[in-house]
Amino acid sequence: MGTVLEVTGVSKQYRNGRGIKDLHLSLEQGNVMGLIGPNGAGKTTLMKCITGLVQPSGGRIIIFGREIGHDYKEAIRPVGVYIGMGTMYPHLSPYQNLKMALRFYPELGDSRIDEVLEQVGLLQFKRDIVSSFSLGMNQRLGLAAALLSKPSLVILDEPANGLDIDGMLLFRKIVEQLSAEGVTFLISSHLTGELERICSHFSILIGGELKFTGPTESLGKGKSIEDHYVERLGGNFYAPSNNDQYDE
Amino acid sequence: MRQAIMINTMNEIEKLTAKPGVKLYFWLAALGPVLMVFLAEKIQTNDMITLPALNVSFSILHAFILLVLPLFSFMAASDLFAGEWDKGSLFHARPVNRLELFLSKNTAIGLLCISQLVIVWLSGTISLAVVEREVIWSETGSTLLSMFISIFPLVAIICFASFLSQCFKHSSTALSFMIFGYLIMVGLPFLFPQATNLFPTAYLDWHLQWHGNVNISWISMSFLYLFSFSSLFFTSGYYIFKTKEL
Repeated sequence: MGTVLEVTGVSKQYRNGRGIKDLHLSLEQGNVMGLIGPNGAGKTTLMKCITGLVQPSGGRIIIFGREIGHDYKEAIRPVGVYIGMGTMYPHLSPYQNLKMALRFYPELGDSRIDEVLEQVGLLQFKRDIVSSFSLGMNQRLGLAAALLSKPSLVILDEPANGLDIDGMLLFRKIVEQLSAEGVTFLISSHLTGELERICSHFSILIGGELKFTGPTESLGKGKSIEDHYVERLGGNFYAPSNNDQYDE
Repeated sequence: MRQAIMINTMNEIEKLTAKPGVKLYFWLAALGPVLMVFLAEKIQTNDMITLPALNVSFSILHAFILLVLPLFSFMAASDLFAGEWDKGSLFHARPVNRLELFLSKNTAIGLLCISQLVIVWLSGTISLAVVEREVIWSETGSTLLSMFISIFPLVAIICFASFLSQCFKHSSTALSFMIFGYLIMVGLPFLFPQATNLFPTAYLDWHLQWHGNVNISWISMSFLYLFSFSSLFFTSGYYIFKTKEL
């Protein structure tokens, strides 16, 4: 089991004073890490830093031994990412959207598009226009895009939002199947019950700081992730500010 | 690097050509010259004015270089930069760096402009041949040369568009400001003639200097100006692009 992702002392400060502070996180091959935290805690910011979409103010991010800041193209190659709804072009079809991503992986043939679309249950909609999709269908397409390049590390930001029961079961099955094959996952979600089912590890991020990280087994008998989270909050429920929409 | 630029240029072209607005420009490039040639022919027949075929060809080229293609560049740049930033699709976690991404977006706009120029030339030449019932090869060669030379000032306009479109978060705002800026660049030299050479718009009819008595020093000077404009806007545009965060 090798180290897949190493986040060392990563900080990102926004002008409004929020962001993430001195984060340390490490993922081993096959780990399924659930990232929980209130709105505005810095979950998406951390994921954007890891994937190079945002420049951290400090710290180091190493993916499969390559530093993201120095060797971006090679570091990001084995990573599948889905962060937010805006990553798809609404005037194009799922096939066209995925084809654009697939061009960067010439070793994979066009049939890979059908494979992933079938995996997420969207094959019959492959020529439809994305703007006509529901939230759940968009989430499925995002998952397909993240899995397209046969990645070894998959980063998903709230992938279960808007999924119907079928979608949820499908998502769970995909994560379980791929993690058994050695694929590592970093998943942020507010659905703690769902994370408990699929995650081998979980981290709690509050106010830009990592309050806890450890295996799900360490929860203790009869304790859920939610209990753990409430404990870490110390009963002070976080009140999001107006700026939450900018940098969750 | 070259492969990533090529792949992403294909992606950008695919995104743009799927838009109805872009398809409209291509239809305009195909049908506009036909209409203009037949209009010129009508004027000649009704008003007994003789218009040389070369003048008609240059008028068509001018209309596209001065009006249609700058507008197309502004629309494409506002879509690819401001529009995508607004929607959150400007950057993806893919094996392509920011310089390659920026270069490929500009290249895509440039290639679509060149495609339109080629269509305009072909459409104009064929229409003229049909109307005149003959092909004047020397004139066809002149307009072909003009078409290729016109790419240089268009590069400066594309760099200007990609720079300016990044200063706005919405494509419609970016497009309005670019059109406004373009009108200022075109109009200001009429009020202040000494400002003529300060804007890249002054060189959009650069191709005319390549016909007849060619003034090499003036052509070199114009080329240097265009090169400077392009470099300035490209570098400033890339700097903004590189520091952008989703």
